[in-house]
This record gives sequence, C-alpha cells and structure tokens, in this order.
Amino acid sequence: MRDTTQPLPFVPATRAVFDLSLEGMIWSRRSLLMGLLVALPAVLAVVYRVVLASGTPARGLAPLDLYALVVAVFWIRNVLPLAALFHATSLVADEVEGRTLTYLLTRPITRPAILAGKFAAYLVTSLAVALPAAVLTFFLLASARGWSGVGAAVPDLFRDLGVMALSLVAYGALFTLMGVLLKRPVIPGLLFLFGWELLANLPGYLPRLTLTTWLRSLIRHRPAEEGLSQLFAQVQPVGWSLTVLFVASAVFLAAAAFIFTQREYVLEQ
Amino acid sequence: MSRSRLVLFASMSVVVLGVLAGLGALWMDPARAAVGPLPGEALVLPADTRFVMGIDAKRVVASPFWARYGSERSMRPQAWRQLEEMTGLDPARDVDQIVVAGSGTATSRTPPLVLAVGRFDPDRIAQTLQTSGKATLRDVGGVRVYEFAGPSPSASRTQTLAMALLDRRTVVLGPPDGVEATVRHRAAGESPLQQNKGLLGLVERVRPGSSFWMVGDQTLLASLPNTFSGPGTGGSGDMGPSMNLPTLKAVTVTADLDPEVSLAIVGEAIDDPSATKLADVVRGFVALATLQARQKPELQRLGSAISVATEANRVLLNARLPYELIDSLRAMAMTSSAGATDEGSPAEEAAKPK
Amino acid sequence: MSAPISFARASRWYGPVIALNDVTIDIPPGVTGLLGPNGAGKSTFLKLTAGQLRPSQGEVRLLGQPAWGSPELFHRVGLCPEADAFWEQLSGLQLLVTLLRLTGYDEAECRQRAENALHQVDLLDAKNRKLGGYSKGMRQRIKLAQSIAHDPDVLLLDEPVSGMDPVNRRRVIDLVRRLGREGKTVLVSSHILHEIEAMTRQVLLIHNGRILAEGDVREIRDLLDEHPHTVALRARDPRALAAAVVGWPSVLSLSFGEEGEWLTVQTARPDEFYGALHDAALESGVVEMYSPDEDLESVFRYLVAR
Repeated sequence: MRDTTQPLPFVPATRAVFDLSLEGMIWSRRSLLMGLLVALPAVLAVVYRVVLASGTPARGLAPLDLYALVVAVFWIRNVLPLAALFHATSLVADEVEGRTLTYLLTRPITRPAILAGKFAAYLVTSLAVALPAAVLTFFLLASARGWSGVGAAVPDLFRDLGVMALSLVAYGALFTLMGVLLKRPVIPGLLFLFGWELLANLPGYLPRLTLTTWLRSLIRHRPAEEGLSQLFAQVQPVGWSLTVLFVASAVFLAAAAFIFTQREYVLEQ
Repeated sequence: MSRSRLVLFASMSVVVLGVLAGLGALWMDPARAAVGPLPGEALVLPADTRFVMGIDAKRVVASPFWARYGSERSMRPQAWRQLEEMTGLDPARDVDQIVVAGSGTATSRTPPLVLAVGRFDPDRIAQTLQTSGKATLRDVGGVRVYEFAGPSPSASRTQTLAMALLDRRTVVLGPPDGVEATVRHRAAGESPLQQNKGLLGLVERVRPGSSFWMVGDQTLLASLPNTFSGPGTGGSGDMGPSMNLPTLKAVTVTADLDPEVSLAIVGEAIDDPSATKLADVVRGFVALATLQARQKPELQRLGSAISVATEANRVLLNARLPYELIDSLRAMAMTSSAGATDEGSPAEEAAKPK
Repeated sequence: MSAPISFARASRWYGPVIALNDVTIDIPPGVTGLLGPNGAGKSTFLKLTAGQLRPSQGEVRLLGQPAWGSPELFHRVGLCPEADAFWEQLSGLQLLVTLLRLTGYDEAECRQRAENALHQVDLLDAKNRKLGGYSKGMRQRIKLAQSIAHDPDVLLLDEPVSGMDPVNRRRVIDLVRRLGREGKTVLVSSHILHEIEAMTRQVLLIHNGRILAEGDVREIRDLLDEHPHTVALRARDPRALAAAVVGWPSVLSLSFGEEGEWLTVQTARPDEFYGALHDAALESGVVEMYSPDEDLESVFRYLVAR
C-alpha cells in the first residue's frame, strides 16, 4: 500500500530514476565518444602486442611501465576527469534541454532522489567503459613478455581499478555541482581541470586543494615521465587521501542536491 | 533483458573475468611470492638475514641484456656463475628465480646463502658432482648435502661451500653451516625468515615484475661508511672535501633489463630533511661528475640518464641506460684500461728514469 | 474543507515583468477552464498550481498544502504539460510504466494502470511503438495518458487537445467531462474558447496577469455571437468535405488553401457547425482542425471596450 502522504522513499525513487536514465545515457553520442577515448589504450596495447609479435625490437618503456603511464597520466589525470566533466555537468541540463524534467518534477519523488538516480546512472555508465578497458590493457601489456611476473603485478591492477572508480566519483560529484550551479559549466570545468589542478605540481599546501594530489597518492606506480611534476609531487597518506576524496564527493553531491532543490528549472525549458 | 542491461552485463563480465584471471595468475605464477617478489621457498632462509637480493632468471634470459652479453661470463652475476660451476646446472634453462641472502656486513667474508627455484634433476646433479670428484657427501636428516671447495671473493683463497637439493624445485648453496641450518628448518616445516618483519616489510615494497631487486635493512646500512670524499676539482689524487651522508634506514634496489637497463634505488632516511640533504648530495655528485666528464660524451649521457627525487623521507634515484650507452661505456672502459696497461701505474711511471 | 486549488494574493514576477498579479481564487472540484490569450499568464498560473514555480508573493495551496516543495502531492496530482517532449527511445507503454514506477506502484500494477490509461486515450494498439514514431495527435494523447494513469484527484491540463484531429478531440473532451463528473478537480488551460466550452461551463478569464472574470462560459460566449468564426480543416478529400458542408445553414462561406489540402470555413454559429461536423469529418478524413481567430483577443477587446 502506497503512503500518499509522503514522497517515495529515497532508495526506490533513486532506483527508478536510475533505470530511466541509464538507457538514455549508455546509448548517447556522448557516451560512445567518451567510451572510444577511454578504451584507446586497450587498442594501443593490441597494436603493441602485434608489433612485438612481428619481432620488431621494442624501444622506450617496458610494458608494465607503459601500463603505469596509461593509468597515472592518461586515465586518472586526463581522460576520466574529462569523461566526468562532459557527463556529470549535463545530468540536469540534458533533461532541461529535452524538456523532460517536468515529468520528473511532477512525480512524488524528492529532487535529491532525482539527482542521485542520474548520478548513479552516470557512474555506472562510466565504470562500464573504464574498468574493462583497464583490465584488458593490463593483461595485454603485462603479459607482453610472458606470464612470469604478471601475478605479482595483479595487486596493482586491483588498486588501479579502485582509484579509477574513485576518480569518477570525485570528479563526477564536483562537476554535478557545477552543472546545477552554472548555466554553462563546461568551460569553467575545463579551466578547473587544466588550470586549477596544475596546482598539484607546486610545493607547499596548495596541492592539497586539488583532487589530483589525493588521487595520485593512491596509485602505487609513479611513472618516470611526469616531467616537471616530478620535482615537487607530493604523496599524501593513503588514509587521508581516501577520507578527503570521500568527504569531498559527499559535500559536492549534497551541495548539488540542495541547489537543485531550490531552483525553478521549468523557466529554462 | 534490455540492451543497456546487456551492455552492463558484458562489461562487468569482462571485469569479473579479469579479476578472476588476476587472482588465478597471482596464485599460479611461478614467480608468485610469499612476500612481495620473494618466493615462498625462500622463507626457510635464516631469520638474521640482513640483505636479500633476487634475480628473475626467466626475465633476464628473455631480455636484450642476455641477448647482448649472455655469452660473456663476466657479465653474469656471481651467484649465477656459482650455480653453473658447482652444480653443472644451466640457470638460463633450469632456474626460474635466484635469491641471495646475507647476514654479514659489506666487509664480511662470510659468503651469502644462494637459493635457486626452478626444475632440477637430483640424480643428474649427484652424478655431476660425484664425477667431478671434488665433492664430499653427507646426509642431513635424509637430505644429501654436498661439500666442496668453491671460489671466494678473494681470488687467492678458496672456501668450503655446501649445496643441498631441498626438493626437485629448490636448491640451496652457500657456507656449510648455513646450508645445514636451512635443510633442518625445511625438514621441521619452519619459516625462520618470516620472523624478520623489518626485512620482509622492505621486500613487500619492491616493484613487482622486476628482473633484479635487493633490499637491505638498517642493521646492514648502519655498518656502511657514511662519510665519503667528493670528486676533487684538481687532477687525480685530489680527493676534495669529504661529506657526511645522512644515515639511511633502508634501501631498496630494483632493476629491469627490457627494453633498456632501468634502475631504481629508494633510500629511506630518518626524516624529511635528511632525505632532502641526501638527494642534494647525490644530485650534486652527479652534476659535478657530469661537468668533469666534459671530454667524454658517454659520461655526460650517463649523468643525464640519472634523476633524483624525494618523497617525504624517501630518496628516489632512477636511471635509464639504453644498451647503446652501456656499449659505449664498456668500450670507453676497455680503452681506458688498455691505455693504463700500456702506460703502467702512476708509481711505475714516476719510477721510470726520465 | 478548503478548495483543492487555492490562490491567496499570489503574485509572480520575472524581473520587472509581472506575470501574475495579486490573484486570490479558490477552484472547486469539477472542471474549470482557464482562458486567456497568449501571454496572459495562464502558463504561470498553471505552473504555480503544479508547484513548478514558487510564488514571489502570497500563497498557492494544492490539496491544502503549499504547492511548491511538496512532492508528495503528486501521488494525487497529474500534469499534462504543453511541451511536446519525451524520452524518445521509450515506447508508449514504457513511458507510462516508468512514470508509474516513479509514483510508487509495483511492477504488476504499473503495467495494468499503463494499459488502462492507454486504452482510455485509444493508444493500446501503439503501446509498443517508440515515441519517436508517434504522430502529433498520438503524442498529445500519450501526454494525457501519463497524467491520468495514477488516477489523480487533481488534473492540470495545459492545452490538452492542441493538434488533435476532431475524433480524438471529442474523445478527450468526453474524458475530461467524465473526470469532472467523478468529482475530480480538473483545471484546463486553453486560448480556444470552444474547446473549453465543450468541457465545462465554469471558466476563469485571465488577462495581463489578472483574473478578469470568472463564471459561466455562456455569458462570455454570447459576446462573440456577433462575429463570424473561421475554422480551418485539413482533410484527405477537402472537396468532398466542402460538398458536405456547403449546404449547412451555419456555414457563411468556404475557401480552399493554396496547396489544396485545407478548407477554410466561415461560420456565425460555431456550436452548430462543430456539432454537425463529426460525421462529415469521418467520411472525408479530416486529420487536423484549428480556428485561427477563435482565441480570446476579440473577447478581451470587447471586455475592455465594455
């Protein structure tokens, strides 16, 4: 029996919005493009193996070092935050532009549940692309010179999967907040990613104001080709890093839910 | 099931399969470690071990290093040569991993224990040793222990070494009492090295998949000299001012040989300022040596291939040496030693009548 | 007992523009038409009622609770928005089931209610077709279906018959009247007097953000009798339609559109004309109908002039 004096409980409401949003999100053009970008290292790993198999002497990085570079620089520093930017800033904006937000706002569900359902759909969509790409890339590169030693590197794979997921959560939460706060959040988001986050490479306390610093502290491999960032790169304790990232994500999402609850989106439709 | 659910299912299946494959590889990997890269078989080594060194024989043999220098005996590690000479084994074919464990200081004459994990034929080894006539056999708790005179670090002396086949996968080689103790621990099902938490903690930090690694603990490092003389600014013989190095708590060395020789040394200092000081000293040393090698481009390249960084109380030294550079350095070294042989020592030169 | 919809000195402005100005009104159960020309404030009124806008001043209450910030109200309130927008990848049935899930029904009841609503708007045969493939009339009907599927006590309909063919327009009008008889509170917003007139006699006239008049629509309708109405019809066979209607006493004149698809009729007695149109529309395949000057500009000009 439904209780018509209260909104739907948070979890069922979130689940229903998640189911609705997932279908549209997985097959969107945005997801397909980001998926191609995220999966690029797996494709390059296949090319690497083909080159090796052809007998061409490999130059440059060892396979596991290449994997470390892909994880630390390509995915965690660049591509996953970009995927979060383009997905999470448009969680509400897509419904507003499509003029379908009215249907959600005229259901007996709270606005935080709407936002949570859409955030969950974004997260699942992004993880569905990123994690398999990481697994495939790892096994393609780690076994490039035989299976000896692959087992010893497996704990790093598990750790990397966790950090990639956490990266999508943290950046996704921040960009969700920017998406509900700003009319055009993509440019500020890009400035944040490629401007503010560079503070991570400076000495002193400023790096602690970036998400990159805390994420970087969680991954074990430290690729040699970090360039200038290697000079001052700070490594924070794992416990602190996890705490800061989870707390920051929760704060961003709570702020986003509050703002979403207060705004009159129907004006923009 | 909707299309999107199907995509999710496929994606998560890949991840789950990958995780299961990873767990399987972790379990079945011949180089699977009981602790970090250390194989489980090596836990029978003594608890008072102060440094441990590991060589992944399979990776070494598969590397360009082996392709270039494998035929030169002088380029093989000493432990490798000992196995070949004493047992007739071919490490390139029969051995997966070699672990060297020492409890002495750097200047100690006690040879370390060498433990090799691979595939061994006990009968063939016994026949080789008995045919050579150089080994004596005794029985320790049902295990055959062979004793023979082996080479020592000092070419003018020999020392008694022992070798035992713990099982078809494990051979231990080294001083007789060390080998005998290892055999007895193994027979009793003991793992004395597990009591050495400090050393094993260092082993756990070793980067997985390295071709070579070494860790040394505080007790070893405390006995190393911490004062050295820097390169002088004058000619040879001018040693320049001496420098006091901060004390290190631990050192970890890892090296890879494919596609180039890459070396990573991590030194753990007692605090952040000590690490910074040590890093500055090393950087300065490298920079000075590079400056002094103006006439030798190979040495300048060597200097550029080394980078030093700090992380809290740790000093990280990385070096990447392409094989072309190593060849140039070897050629330069051979030219220098050939020139020195022609010219004689400085004392001999001074003694020559003008 | 308070009225289901209640405005107490409610105003809403957007910057310097006042969209609704000091409105106090109670809307009782039954069907009430909200009439006004474009820009009069109908949308603002409806959106305030639906809790999508917060009043700048005053109070708007729905079923006794503030309309803004009370999502639980939508267990008992349905909204048929004006915008023609859906999640196009869903089918008609999927849309209704999804929205019913968001209303708290279990899977079995969602499906049952969805099919019942589709039946009421005659879309059961097209339930599995993607919304992207629906015609304009079908899209209008599915919007109505989603607003009634959960059997709400209050129904807010924004231009519910816009773009519909005469047959389905009649069907919707009958549905609204039935809901009113059942005791539901139905607020229908439109700028077409005749549509409202077919559904109810109770109207609110709104103009420039103010309630200009409320009461029986007949009184307002009588004011328009002096002016002929223009009705535009698009049919499969416009000439057959013209032949059918030319002899009706209510028809003053006929003309064909440039493309030949449209027939424009002038009538001084629109009630009589619309009443007789049903059968002729079926035979000649009328697919679209609108009245370009049957808005209330002329009514309001009258009201202002009087």
